[in-house]
Amino acid sequence: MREHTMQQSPHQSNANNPPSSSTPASLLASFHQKLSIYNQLGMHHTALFYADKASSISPTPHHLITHARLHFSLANYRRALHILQSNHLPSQHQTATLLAAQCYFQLNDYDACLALLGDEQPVDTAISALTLRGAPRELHAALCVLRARVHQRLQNPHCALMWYKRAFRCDIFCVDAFHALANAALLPKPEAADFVRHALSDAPSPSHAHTLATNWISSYYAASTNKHAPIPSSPPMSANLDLTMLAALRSFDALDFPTCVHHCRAILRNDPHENTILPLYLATLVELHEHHELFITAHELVDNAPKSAITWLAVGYYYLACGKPELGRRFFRKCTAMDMQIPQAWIAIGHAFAAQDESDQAMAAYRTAARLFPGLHQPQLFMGMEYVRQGSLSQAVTMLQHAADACATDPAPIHELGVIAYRMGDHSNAANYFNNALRRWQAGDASRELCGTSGRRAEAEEATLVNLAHCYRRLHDYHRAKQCYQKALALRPRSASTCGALGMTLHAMSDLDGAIAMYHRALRSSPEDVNFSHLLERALQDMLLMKPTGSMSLSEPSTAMSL
Amino acid sequence: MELETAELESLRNPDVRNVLLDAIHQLNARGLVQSATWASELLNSLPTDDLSDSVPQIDPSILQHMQNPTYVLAKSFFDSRQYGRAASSLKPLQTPLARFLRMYATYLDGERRKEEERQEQEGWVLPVNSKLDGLRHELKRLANQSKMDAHLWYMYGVVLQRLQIKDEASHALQKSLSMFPYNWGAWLELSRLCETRDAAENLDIDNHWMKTLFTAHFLNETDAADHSHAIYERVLEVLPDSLYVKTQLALALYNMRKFDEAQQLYEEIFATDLKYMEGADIYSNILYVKEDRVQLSMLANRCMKTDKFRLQTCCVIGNYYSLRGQHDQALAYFRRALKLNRNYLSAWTLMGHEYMEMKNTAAAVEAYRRAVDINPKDFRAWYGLGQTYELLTMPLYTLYYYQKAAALRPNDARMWCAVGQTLQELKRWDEAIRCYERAVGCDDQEGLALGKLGYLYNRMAQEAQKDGRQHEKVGFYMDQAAKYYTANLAMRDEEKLGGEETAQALRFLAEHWVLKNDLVKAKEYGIRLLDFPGHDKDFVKTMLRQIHSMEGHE
Repeated sequence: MREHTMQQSPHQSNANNPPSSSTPASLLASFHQKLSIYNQLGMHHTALFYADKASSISPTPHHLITHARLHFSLANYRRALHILQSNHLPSQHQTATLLAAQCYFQLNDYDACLALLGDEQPVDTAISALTLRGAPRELHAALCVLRARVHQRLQNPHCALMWYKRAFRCDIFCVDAFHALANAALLPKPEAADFVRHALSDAPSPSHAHTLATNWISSYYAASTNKHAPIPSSPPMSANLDLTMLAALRSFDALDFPTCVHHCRAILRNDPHENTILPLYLATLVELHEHHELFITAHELVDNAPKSAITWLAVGYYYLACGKPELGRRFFRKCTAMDMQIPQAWIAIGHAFAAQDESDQAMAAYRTAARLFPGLHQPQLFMGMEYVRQGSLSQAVTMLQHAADACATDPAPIHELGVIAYRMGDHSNAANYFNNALRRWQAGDASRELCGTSGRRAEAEEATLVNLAHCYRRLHDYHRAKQCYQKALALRPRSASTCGALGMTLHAMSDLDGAIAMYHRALRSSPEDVNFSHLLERALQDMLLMKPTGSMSLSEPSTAMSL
Repeated sequence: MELETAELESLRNPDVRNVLLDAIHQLNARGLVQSATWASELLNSLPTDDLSDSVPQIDPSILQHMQNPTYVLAKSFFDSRQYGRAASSLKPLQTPLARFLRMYATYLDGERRKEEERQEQEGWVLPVNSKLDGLRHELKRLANQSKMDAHLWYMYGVVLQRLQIKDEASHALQKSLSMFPYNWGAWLELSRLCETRDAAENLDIDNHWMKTLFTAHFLNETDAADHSHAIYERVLEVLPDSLYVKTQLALALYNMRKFDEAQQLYEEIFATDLKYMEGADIYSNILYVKEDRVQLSMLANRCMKTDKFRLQTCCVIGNYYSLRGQHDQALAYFRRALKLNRNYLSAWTLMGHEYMEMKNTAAAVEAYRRAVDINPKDFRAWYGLGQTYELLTMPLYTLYYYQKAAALRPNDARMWCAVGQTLQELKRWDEAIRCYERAVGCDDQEGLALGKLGYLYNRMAQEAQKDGRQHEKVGFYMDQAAKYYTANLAMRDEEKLGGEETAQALRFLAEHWVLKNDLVKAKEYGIRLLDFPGHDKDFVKTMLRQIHSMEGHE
């Protein structure tokens, strides 16, 4: 309705001028007043009645467009189009162009939409020229965003990206464009951050009235693209959705899921029907194995918003988390059919297939995700992991290398590369990869100085540490292997396999007492493990063969307690 | 060893009363009832001193909490064992005391959940307290922000200990105790973490009379019960009425295997306070070893009347049934004791013994393992594990466990005999001999080692004879064998023992002296050998004839 109010002032000046027709101006003015009041009251049909009368009395573009917009808000897209086209408005008036294009968009007639909007490669300098022509920046931004949307629907992410960028440069206040750029689906995060920074510095200096707003939005953008930047705090906004969401996203990225869930719940308490937070909230619930919460959330969503794609994502997540990937897949499919722009759904389809060992179909799903969302590195990561499962290691390496390059902070691809190197027997290379991954973990920690590491985060790092230790052990660098195992045990003290592996390392270092103690500890956690009991037997045998044990405890009875 | 008991003198200082009273309030406010009880008992055994005129002041922070409705509500939940509710209602309070109570309640909530899971779940894998990780991270964060007080350090230590991160746990407990030494529970945790005497003696805590009590307690668990006994004697001079000290003294006597003295002391303790139950389980062990059925049944009766569902009662009754040979009944009572407290060490060990009696090796192993998990310094459990694996004929395991036991009790001949026997089975004669010699050195009361040594040296001599290269050693081995057989014989004669072993010694010695041409000795042993029925008399007669002819030659 912004179009409407925006155009109000010129109209009023029109109305004050002597009208060209014979109809009294006061009639038109009161029709128009009724129209806008009823429109604000949500009584669109009454408003429509007066709009129809006004445009019949005086078929000015403004009246016609208002009339058409009312039809648009009543979802009568074809009627709106007809009004505009029969008066040849779209080619003359940019507001009309936008409205007509919006109608085509809603009617899924993307070709017509693009034909109307024009899809010529814009020249960068053209921006200032556009503004000079007098049309407001906002309108241009809206046109660009619409073009981008169309391209997204046409599965043409690169063009979409270009138009979003252009929209953002037209008007840095266009949050739609910013979110599309910053959510990483189209553009990797660091690139997005760079672009936003440049666009902000290139933007013409704001008029005095907008200085504060510009400053605020710049700091909001900075906080969204750079996790080290502070979240804007002045003016204070109590429990604001977007700011809380920033905090939630940050804790999610740091694998601090309990805090993330806490933020998400705060948002949902404030506004239980807030949809934008849901993908994040659902993902966190999956990570925390909160099946119950997922179940309830999904049920509420099905009751409240059955037409929203996210709803079916929630249902699918629930089934996937319960170990029913086939059912889960069905609902993810439903979700993508309703809205294909949800990356989580495509990746989840891949996971669901992978859980059933349907590698090819999983790959197809991941590939779709990679094509639609070129800014994400996860599809490549998962494809790489799938290649590993299939045993095509060289393809896996290429894929994972891509993923690692695309995202310089995620340790997962590097870790997987290490696993491949380990499997190919190249232990020193694998050790390099794991060390690299550990560095990435620690780099992530630097921002969270005093925080303790959370459970899941520790688990993930522990896996890397254990693998690194395995490499060192295979390289006969037992000393370092021992250190790594011990660090891993400090993170997850009850892991039987780590205890066993540390036992083997100590065994190889001829520290039989330590080895035996570790094998015992491993057997304590998993008492039926045949390997560990076999190893224990070996260690006990070696103990007997190695040195006269009886004499050892004989000669030094005072320290014998440490045996 | 120089005993550090100088600190004990400060117990005579009248200020101790106020300090202790304040500490008890601190402990009670945090729900640490066991430690508070312990401290209160100590407070009441302090010598009364009418001269002390200072009125005890309650710590202002405690008073503040007492007036805080949230805290009072949470504490009531806590006291009525609604730990989850207590923890959640304490969330708004950010004082160190409230934080501690919340974490402690969370921990106990996790323990409760763990117990429930254990009841529901079959199989070997034990459930774990799921709250530990969260608590650990929160405490770590607090530690990084230097927001810890003595009690939070204690909590951190306990959590780390449960997570098997022992070094850090020990560090946290030491921090706690150097700030606030009156938490006996913390000392007990620390004692579980100190695996060697060195570790216990090199703690980073300033000297304090509590530390002296800890040292005594720790030594009592190791093979230095005599040192422990000496310290407790000194403590008793300062606190002549303390039942705790007396009980510990009796325990030290028990550990020193001075059963009669220990029994006497226990009688004295129980005469002072009929309702006193600490140490009753140890006392019942003594009566069990002495097979004193009458006293044991009296003790069982008294315990039953005092408190049927106490750990000690269950243990006493278990021992009683065990002595009567009713092993399944005994097991039921030990199991009940463990229901009351999963970490009750002696019940696990005793349960292992019962399972061994019933030849249920798998269950015995499991019970002993639990005991060792709770306290790796418990030589009885290690020894029991050895015995179990011996029954399973897995000598490698047997050896390892016996060695552990021997390392913990290096002055106990029984341990060395057990190690020696296993080594002998593994055909490691050399080492077996050394172990038996060690047993002899430790005053082997059962007299097993001497005979074994004789046998083994004899065997070594034979081996050396077969193996031409070691000819020169034969003589040495034979002499050693003769020495030990003679010693064994002397001991057996003194105790008027007959039997196969005596016969074996006599036969060896007779043959040996024949070879050595000492015909008088040979004849003496030979004639004694004739007294043993069933022995191949022909062999003896041939030998005696041979001796006669040799005498004739001379």
